[in-house]
Amino acid sequence: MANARAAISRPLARGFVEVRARRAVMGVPLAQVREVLNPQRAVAVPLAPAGVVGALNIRGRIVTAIDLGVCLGLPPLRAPATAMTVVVEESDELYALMVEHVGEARSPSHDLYDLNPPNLRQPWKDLCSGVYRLDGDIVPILNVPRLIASLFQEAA
Amino acid sequence: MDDLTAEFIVEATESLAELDTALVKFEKDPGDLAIVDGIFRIVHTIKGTCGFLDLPRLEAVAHAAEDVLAAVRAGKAPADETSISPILVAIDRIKFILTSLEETGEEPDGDDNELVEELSALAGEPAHDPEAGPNSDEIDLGDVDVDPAFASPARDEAAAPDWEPTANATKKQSAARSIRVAVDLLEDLIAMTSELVLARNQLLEVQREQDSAAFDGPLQRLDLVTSELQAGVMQARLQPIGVAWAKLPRIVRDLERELGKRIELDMLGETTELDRQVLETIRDPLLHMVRNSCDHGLEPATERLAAGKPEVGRITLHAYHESGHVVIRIADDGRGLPVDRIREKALKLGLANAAELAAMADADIARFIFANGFSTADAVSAVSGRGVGMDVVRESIESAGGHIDVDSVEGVGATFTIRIPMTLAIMAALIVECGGERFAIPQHGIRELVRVGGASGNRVEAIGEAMTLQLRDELLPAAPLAAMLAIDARTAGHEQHAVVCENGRNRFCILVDRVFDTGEIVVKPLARLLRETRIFAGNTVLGDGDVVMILDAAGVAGEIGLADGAEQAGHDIQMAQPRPVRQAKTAVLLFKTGPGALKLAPLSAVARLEDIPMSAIQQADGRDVVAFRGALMPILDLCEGRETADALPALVFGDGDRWAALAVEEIIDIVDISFELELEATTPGVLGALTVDGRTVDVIDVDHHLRRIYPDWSPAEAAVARRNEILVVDDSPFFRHLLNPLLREAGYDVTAVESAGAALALKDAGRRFDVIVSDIDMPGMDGFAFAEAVRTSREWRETPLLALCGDASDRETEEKLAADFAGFVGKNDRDALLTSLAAAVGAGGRRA
Repeated sequence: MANARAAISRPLARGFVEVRARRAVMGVPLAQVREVLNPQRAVAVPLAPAGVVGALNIRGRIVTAIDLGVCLGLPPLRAPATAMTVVVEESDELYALMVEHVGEARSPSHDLYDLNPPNLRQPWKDLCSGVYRLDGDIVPILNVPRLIASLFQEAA
Repeated sequence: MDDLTAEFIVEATESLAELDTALVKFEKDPGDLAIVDGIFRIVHTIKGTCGFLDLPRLEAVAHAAEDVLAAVRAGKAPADETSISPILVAIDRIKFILTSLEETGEEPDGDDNELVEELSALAGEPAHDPEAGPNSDEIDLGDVDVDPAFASPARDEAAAPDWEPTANATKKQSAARSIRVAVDLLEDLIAMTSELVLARNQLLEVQREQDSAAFDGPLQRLDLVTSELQAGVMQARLQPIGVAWAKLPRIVRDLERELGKRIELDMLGETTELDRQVLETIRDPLLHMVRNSCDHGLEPATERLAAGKPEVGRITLHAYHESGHVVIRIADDGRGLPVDRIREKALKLGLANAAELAAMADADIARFIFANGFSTADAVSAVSGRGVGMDVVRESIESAGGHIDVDSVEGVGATFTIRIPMTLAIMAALIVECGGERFAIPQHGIRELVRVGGASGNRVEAIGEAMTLQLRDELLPAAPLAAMLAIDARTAGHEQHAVVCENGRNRFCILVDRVFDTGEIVVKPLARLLRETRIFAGNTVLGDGDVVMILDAAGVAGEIGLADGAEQAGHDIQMAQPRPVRQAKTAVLLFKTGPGALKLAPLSAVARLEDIPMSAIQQADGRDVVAFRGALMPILDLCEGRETADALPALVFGDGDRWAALAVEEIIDIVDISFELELEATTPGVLGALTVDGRTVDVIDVDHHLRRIYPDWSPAEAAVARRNEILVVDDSPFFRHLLNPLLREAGYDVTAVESAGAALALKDAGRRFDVIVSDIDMPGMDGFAFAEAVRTSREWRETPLLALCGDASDRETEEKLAADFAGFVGKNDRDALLTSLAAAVGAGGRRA
């Protein structure tokens, strides 16, 4: 397992990778991203929380696949078989975020970082740790620990 | 540091771990010189080796400790606290020096004179000069002793290759037959084997589809070799749980002193094997929990006495295997968890609101001690303890795919139950399909596969919500997997498959759509996020790379409302709540035979009640006989001076194809009573007397009368309806497994334990037995000591005790056995055992 871990690229110091789930664009902090994979076959896991698509086999390691869109209150992935996968690590476990599109990694200046707008609604309010203002685009940054915690709450 | 020193450190550290356990045992049982011998030998070895390696400080301490041990052996020093404590101090000092030696390669600076002098004073000798080298007047142990030339510190490194410091015969042998392997290497091997298993599975899959004969041979070999490799590697990984427990006796002993409490630690099932990795995970949590029990669970002696409990607090560790899991119970008979305080605390921490708490059962409230952060705060730990770090304990156990629960009764004690997979690695499983998804069911719980529905003739019927399958003459609860997992199964009416499983005492079946084949799977623990569902035990990657979930049979059984197997395991011992002495009711027949007290016989032995017309009675062979079921049945009239009547009421008994009747004056009634004789009889034909509804009744010895008719009448096994309870004490799991079914078949209820200590724990738990069968050769307390303990106990004094001897014993042993035991039999002589048991039960029954 140590080898598999070593093969996964190290994170950039700061910055995020842009992803799109349904219409929503979000930034996943690179500090927590372990790798980005092409479509993988996820096996459904019965009785799992709604945000969980299933389980993936990533080089012999079993990883829980999460539909980021569902967690954000959007409809489920229409074609999970073609979804891209962003593998993140949280509390020593790996989770695969399934999204339609993975964009580029960006590390904008810290000056462009802002607090959540006060009018954000749930679940966005909980799942965003802040936003980047980039050339008129607003990219909310995903709070990975809270995302996972929200799934645990659902599971309990 | 050279290799020799490194090896010495490893060996010495291992020996010291043994020492701790041995010393504590010795202190409890100072009469046992075998233990002193063992301790002496270990210390002697360490001392000899340090001399050789030029470790003067270590040597001086070891030598002084050895002298005290020699004095104890010779009876010159007392075998109690006064000797043991300084030895323990010396051992701690040795450990300290070893640690420093390991870190720096040198003995630390320091002075042990004070300790050495204290020890020497105990040993009754002047202090040794630490520089003086080994003493020449050393106790000669024959094979253990070191050649003085060898032990000389002057010996140079060049001679190292043939270094064999204290080579006694067995040591030499074990050194040749085993080597030390770094744990990391073993782990790597296991990881690689797991991958190899996956690759093999994938290849087999390909082979199945393509069917190219050229690969048949090599693939078959690969398959075989992989399986064997895997089994070997798995075996190398298993360790007895005793390894994790080894430190506990010493820790408990130290806590006893520190806390001023008296604590007895019982460890059952030390040989239960589990994976090294799992073992490592639970080692510290176990230690922590035992500490908690000592510190917070058990009350001080005065409080215990006031509560009517024995002064000595008892902590019991019990480990056993159950369907691929290891179950570990840590039970104490202390004050239990303080539910009120936990409730307050939970409220304060906002874990639940007052209304929720009010509605919760105590058991659920007790579980708050596992909540995150529950213990880090002050109040509970400071005031009433328990819960200190239990969240950490829970996390470590869950990290290994395990589960922990607590069962506590305030004032009576608390039992923590840990259920953890035996191995995280590999198992055989059946792959099934349901609703288009595949699942793995562990093979060890599966009994058979049956087609149901469609044209198969086996039907699943619903009774309310519950599904059942009638299979042959058995009604099995059925678990419809699709419904349980909320996935779409095939439409009703289609043929399905029932996987019949057994878990503990539960038999049930899981309904699935299709059954594939069986295979070895590499078990991987579930992601934490998925652990809430108790239906899954883990997941795995199949040969084709797909992930499948592994069903947990116990979880499925629980889900369809069958009681948790763990609660019903046959060998389950309830530590916290002593079982009341059993008051089984027995149906008995009351009848009259002339004047005097009413008579009684157990109904179970009676085949029929008949009124035999006088006219049908004939004389043959000088006895009364009557035609009955196509044969002649002899009648014995129990009633003396009978007045003439038209018919004789008679009790008819059967033995094989023979019948015999006992005629009585009048049959009164059938009643349920607890069959406990209150008065022993002196007249043959009467067992004794007891009271039924205030009337005194004679209990008739039916067998005695029947033997008056047929001298070879076999004793009515079921004469007393309750099954006799036998306690088997034997350290060999093999014999326990052998005896258990044998005795059960012979009509006994069997409780088997592996040590005298465990047996005595049952005594204290209020269990009573009709006969105790004990092995003689057992580690720890042997059969004779056990017999002594039983004979001197208030509770078991009267219980007949049978000895099991390994093989033909010599005269001396035989005489000793005859003195301590009611009888003795060879271990392999099953007929003799059954005969002796029957005799002992008879004797005990009369005595009861």
